[in-house]
Amino acid sequence: MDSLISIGKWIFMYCTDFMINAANLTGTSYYEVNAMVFVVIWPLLTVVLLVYYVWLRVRVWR
Amino acid sequence: MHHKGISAPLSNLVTLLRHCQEYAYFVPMEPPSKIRSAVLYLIILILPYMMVVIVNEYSRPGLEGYYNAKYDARGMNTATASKAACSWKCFFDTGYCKRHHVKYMQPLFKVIDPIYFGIIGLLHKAGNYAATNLLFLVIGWPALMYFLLIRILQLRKKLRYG
Repeated sequence: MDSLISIGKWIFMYCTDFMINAANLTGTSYYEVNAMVFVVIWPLLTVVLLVYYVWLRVRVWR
Repeated sequence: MHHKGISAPLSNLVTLLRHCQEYAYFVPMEPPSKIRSAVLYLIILILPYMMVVIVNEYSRPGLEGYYNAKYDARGMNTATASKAACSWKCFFDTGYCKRHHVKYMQPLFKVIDPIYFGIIGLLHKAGNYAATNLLFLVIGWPALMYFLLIRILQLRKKLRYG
């Protein structure tokens, strides 16, 4: 269990490092990259996917 | 055959596409095999995580790194504040990042901040910030999007091939 927690912590830090690196590579900031991903792109993408999925379900059902 | 008004290579491409179109019309298309679909789903699953690894490993050379005592793990970037680039300082102190690094989203602070800090607040409320962050933002939410995408591909396949 301890090793699983250690792996989890390492993954968390690796992902945070990714956001920092992505910010530095794109010439933006950690705040902006986080905002773009978690406030704009992911919520928008989730809604689009959900709406399209429901629409396809209705088409298949008909 | 040379199509009027376009260059020779483009003209060849147009001819090729027309042949493909005619071929597809006469030969009934087979649905992709289960193995092919499974490989596609696996690629879609792996690709975003691959991107994380590529970006991190590309950035790694030259980074100082630092030891985070709270998480008992070593970070790739430094935790020292710098006005030139983002670091773990921006993770611990969002205000510092907003003051010194934000370039394009300053007019949007009023819109973004409530959602941004709302998500952070919710993750803190769960008790263990790192664990909740990992479960929700690295596993849960991507899993939901992945599930929806795969179901969409399956439904499109069903509509196309019956």
